[in-house]
Amino acid sequence: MTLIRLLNLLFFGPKVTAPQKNFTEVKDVDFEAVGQDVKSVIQKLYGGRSLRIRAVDAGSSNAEEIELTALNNAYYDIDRFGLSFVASPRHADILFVTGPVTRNLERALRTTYEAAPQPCLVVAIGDGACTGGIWKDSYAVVGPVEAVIPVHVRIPGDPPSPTAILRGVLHALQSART
Amino acid sequence: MSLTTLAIALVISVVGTFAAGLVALWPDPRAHRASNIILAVSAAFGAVVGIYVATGSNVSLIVPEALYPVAADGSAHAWPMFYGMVFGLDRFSAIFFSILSVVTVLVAVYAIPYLEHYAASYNVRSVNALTALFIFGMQGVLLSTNIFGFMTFWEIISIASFFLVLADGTEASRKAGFLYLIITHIGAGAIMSGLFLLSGGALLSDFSVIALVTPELPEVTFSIALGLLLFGFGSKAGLVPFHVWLPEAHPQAPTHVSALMSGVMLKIAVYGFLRVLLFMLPGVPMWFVLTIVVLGVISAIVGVLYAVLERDIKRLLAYSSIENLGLIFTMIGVGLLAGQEGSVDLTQAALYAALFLAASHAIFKTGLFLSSGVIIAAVHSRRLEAMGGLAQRMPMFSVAVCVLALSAAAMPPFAPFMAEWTFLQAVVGALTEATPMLKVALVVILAAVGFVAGLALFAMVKMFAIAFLAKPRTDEAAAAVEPKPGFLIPIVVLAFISLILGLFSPLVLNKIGAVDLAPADLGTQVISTGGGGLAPLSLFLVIAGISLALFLLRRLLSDVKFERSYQTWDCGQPTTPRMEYTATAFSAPIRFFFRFFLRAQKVVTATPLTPNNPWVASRTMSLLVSQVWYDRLYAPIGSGVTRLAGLVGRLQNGSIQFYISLILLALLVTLIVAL
Repeated sequence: MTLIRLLNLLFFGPKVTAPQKNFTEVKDVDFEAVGQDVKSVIQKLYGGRSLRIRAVDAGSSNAEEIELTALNNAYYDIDRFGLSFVASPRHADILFVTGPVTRNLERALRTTYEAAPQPCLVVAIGDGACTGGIWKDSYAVVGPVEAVIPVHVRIPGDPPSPTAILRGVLHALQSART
Repeated sequence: MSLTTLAIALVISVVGTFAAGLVALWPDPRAHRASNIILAVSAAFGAVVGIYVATGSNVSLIVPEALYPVAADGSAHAWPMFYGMVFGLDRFSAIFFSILSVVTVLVAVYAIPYLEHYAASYNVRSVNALTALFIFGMQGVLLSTNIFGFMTFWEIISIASFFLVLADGTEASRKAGFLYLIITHIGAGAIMSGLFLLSGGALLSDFSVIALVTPELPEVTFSIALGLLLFGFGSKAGLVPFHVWLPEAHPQAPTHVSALMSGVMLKIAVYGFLRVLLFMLPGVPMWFVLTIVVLGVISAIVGVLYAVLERDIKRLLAYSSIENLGLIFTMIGVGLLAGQEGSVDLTQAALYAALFLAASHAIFKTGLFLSSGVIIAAVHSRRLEAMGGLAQRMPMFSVAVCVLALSAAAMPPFAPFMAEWTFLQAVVGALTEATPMLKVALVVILAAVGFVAGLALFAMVKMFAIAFLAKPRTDEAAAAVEPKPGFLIPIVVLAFISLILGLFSPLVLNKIGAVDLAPADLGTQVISTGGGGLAPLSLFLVIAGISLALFLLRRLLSDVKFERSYQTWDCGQPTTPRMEYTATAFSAPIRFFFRFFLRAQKVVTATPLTPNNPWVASRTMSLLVSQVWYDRLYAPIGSGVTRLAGLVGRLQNGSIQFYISLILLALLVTLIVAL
């Protein structure tokens, strides 16, 4: 196309980006409030640095994993509150454990906890991790997460919503302060 | 120390070695220890004499004269020696004599527990006797001032080491021993012919006759003699392409003998070469000097390449010896080349760096061979891939081997780095005012030496890391324990000497530099190379001080109580030794990069396990690296000689009339030619 038509398209053509008010207007008020609280607690506790999370799937149905993935997308975006996921328990401050602990992953979960430097908070996410859920007395399951490693916060739900997860993290941090 | 004392100590040293050999043959079980103790003590005497003469004033020690000085009436009592041969030590041979003696002391101490451990594999009496004879031969070569004496003791070295290579009686040893014998004998013949040509047939005379005869020799004769001498000394020193015996023979000999062969015998070849070249010949043609440089560079490159690829620890060390000898010959060649092109500073520096590298190589290579003996005794295998995890099980031994391996990799502050640094510094310094031809040569050599040094580090890291680090790959390696003091002390002492030589290298280089290496047309100035850019002791102390200070600060200031030690993060899966680096994998990048030269072949053979289904098979993968020199040079020569022998063998048709007619024909031809 000619240069004039290109310039026309660029400056006067249809807008392909979403309007800015889509992002400045708050959609989920609860989530934003909890997120701001988490951010201020992290600021106070860690002097402005961020909190690193290591997610361990000890045998879940992946529902909790999808919610954890949602925490990272553009809608919820926990990176702005100072939370980020890391690749190694060596770098972790918090362990998110999902699912009832199956026999195959019992050793891996224990070594993950031992490899994480203290102090490390353990958060059990989902009904399976809190109590064993519907898989409680299965032959392939050791039990809830507290049967293997000490747990600081339990977040029930199947799966818990992202807001509930964040509220659980806030609760863990506030009790760690005291 | 007076001349008489030195002479007596020298005589004790040599006679003691011979006596150790005789004592070793005694049937008593205590003879093994006695023989090695006598050997160590006499070598200690030799070390004292050697070091005193090498570092002292201009002492030239001629034994009969020192013990029987000229009487007041002017008559001198000389010992009635065979053919009037005189034995003595001058400063140049004292350097090598002290290397030999120091190494012998430690090897003799090591041999006591080593041969007791392996008493079932070797005939201990004959191994001890032959080792003493071997050392006696080397001492004789260094003390000879006469061509006949030199050659006699040279042959004693060759024969004694041949029988030592055969000592454990296996098929591999026999093959390696015969290859070694053939090449070393042809080499000795070449040296003898070369010296014969250079001395005009006077084999029973002193070395000085060569200096008289050589200027009048025709060009062709001189060149042939030089070529023969290069082949003879080069084959003994392990110059490519005459090196094929070295990686076969050194692993097969008993370990303390391998240490002696690799550490000292190769240096004796360098000594012989330099003795003829610098002290007897007036000057050598340019083609000869360039050949030395080219062969040296090729040896260094080939040696280090094969050392990087090797998976047998003793063969790795043998190839590393080839590399270092290549570097020594390169330095000698550059020294001579610079002398011909007029850069006198470079001449002196290169030759002294070559001597220093020879001395330091003797120390660390002996140490590494002795430690390989300890490792092999613990793990019962020579393969690197059967070792592993030895650092946790043998801590002090591992520290000593780490020092020796760093030394072998030419790391500062150890001695070989200082030698190479002196050489490189002098090369770079001479680049600006060099003639164009020398400039080109020096730039190529700089690149080659850098390449070799890098790959040498690779090879030593591989050797140390695969053998000592990570987890043990076999049960025998897991069961290893710290070696006995008899094994450990010589290795620790050698590591310590290597460090000391490096830290005090300016001093050592000054001492070597004071040796008058002035050959006829290279100028008579003796320039000391000590210092220049070297201050290893002060640098080492500064770095050690800073490290200590940092360590103490961290200990004091950090919250040590929050430290908790835990195993390496293994991603939740238990790590097994099968997951570790293998020697083959570690050297794979180099094998790939040089694949055109090395032509590594992967051969997969599948043997079907069931008759009906060829897909169910047991598969074996072998990785073969071609031996270029053996395949292209030696194997054709060998098969050619065999074919020729077959043709000649057709003459033996069993008919006696035919044989009589052949004798008649020979007689007729002789009469015609003679008359």
